[in-house]
Amino acid sequence: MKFTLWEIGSYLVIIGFWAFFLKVIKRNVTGDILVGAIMGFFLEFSTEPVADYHFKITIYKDLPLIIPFAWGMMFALTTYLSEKLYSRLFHKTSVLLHDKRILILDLLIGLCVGFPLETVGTHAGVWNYNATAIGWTLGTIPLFQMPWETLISYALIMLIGPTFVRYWQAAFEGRI
Amino acid sequence: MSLVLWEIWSYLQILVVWAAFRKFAHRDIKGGILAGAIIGVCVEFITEPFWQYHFKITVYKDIPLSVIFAWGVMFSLVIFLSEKLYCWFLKKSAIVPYDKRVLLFDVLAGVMIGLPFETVGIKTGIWEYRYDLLHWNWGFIPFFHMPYEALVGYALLMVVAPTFVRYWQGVFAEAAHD
Repeated sequence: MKFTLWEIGSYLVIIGFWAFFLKVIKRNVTGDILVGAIMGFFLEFSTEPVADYHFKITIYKDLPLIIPFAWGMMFALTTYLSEKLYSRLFHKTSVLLHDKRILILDLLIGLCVGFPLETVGTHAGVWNYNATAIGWTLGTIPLFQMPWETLISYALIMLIGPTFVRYWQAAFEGRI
Repeated sequence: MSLVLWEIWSYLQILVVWAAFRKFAHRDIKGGILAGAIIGVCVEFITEPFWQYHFKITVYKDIPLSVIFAWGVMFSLVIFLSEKLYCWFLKKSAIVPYDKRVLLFDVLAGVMIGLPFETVGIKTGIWEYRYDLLHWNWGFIPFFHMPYEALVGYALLMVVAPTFVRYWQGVFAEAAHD
C-alpha cells in the first residue's frame, strides 16, 4: 500500500513539476523531460543490478516506467537552476556556447538537486541498493547515510547529462 | 603474456589513431579523446561492478587507465563515422545543428565500431562479464556470440554520449593545446 502511494505520487510529482514550470516559471520543460528520460533510461539499463525497485508498472525487469521520467525531471531542474546561477554569477543573459564553466555549475547544481532525491528514494524504501553484492566499499556519507559511490556517480552523471539535455531539448519540443 | 601485450597495445593504439587522423583525415582528435574520456570515467565508474578487467595499470579497483582513453578513441571514431554516414546518406556537406537524425547515425556508427571492440575485448580475455550480477538472459547475437544486452547498452550509450563529445571536443582541444 505504501509503495502504491509512492508510485502514484511519483507520477503526480512529474505532472505537477511540468505544470508548475509552464504556469509559474513560463517555461515549457517537455523537451527537457523527454531528453532527460532518454539519458535516464540509458543510466538505468546499464546499472540495472545496482538497485531493486518496488513499484508495479515496470519496463525492464524491476525498472519502473516512472524512473526515466524522474531523471528527466531532475535534469530539467538541474539545467534550469544551473543556467540561472550561471547568469547571476557571470552577469550573462544566457549560457555562452562552449563555456566550460557551465560544466562545474551543472555538476554542483546536479548534486544539490539529485542527491537529496536519491536519499529520499532510498530511505523511503522505493528502491534499495545491492551494495554488498556489487561490492561498494567506500563507506557511507555522514548525515545522509548513503554510499559514497552514489555521490560520485551523481557528480559524474551531472557533468555529462545536462549538456545532452540542453542541446536537444528545443529540438524535441519541435521548436528547432 | 598476451594480456601484457594487449595492455601495451591499448596505450599505443591511442597514439596510432590520433596520428592516423592527423595524417590521413587532417583532423586533430585530442579534444574528442579527452571529452570522450570523461564519458569513459562516468561509464566505467557507474558500471564498475559488472565487469572484471585483467590489466595491470588501474585507476579505480580493476578499471584500467587505458580503458578510459580507449572510450575517448572510440567516441572520436564514432563521431567521425557518424558524420560521414550522415553526410553521405542525407547528401549534406556537414551536420545541420540540432538535426535529430544525427542521433540515429550516432547509434549506427556507435554499434558498428563499439560492438567489434567489445567483442575483441571479451574474446581476448581483457575483461569478462559478471553474469552472476548481470543476470542477462536475452541470448546471444549470431556470429558475434555477444549478449544482446551488451548491444542494447551500446546503442543507448551512443544515443547520449556523442553529443557531449561533439559539443565539447573543440574546447578540450584548446585546453590541451594551452
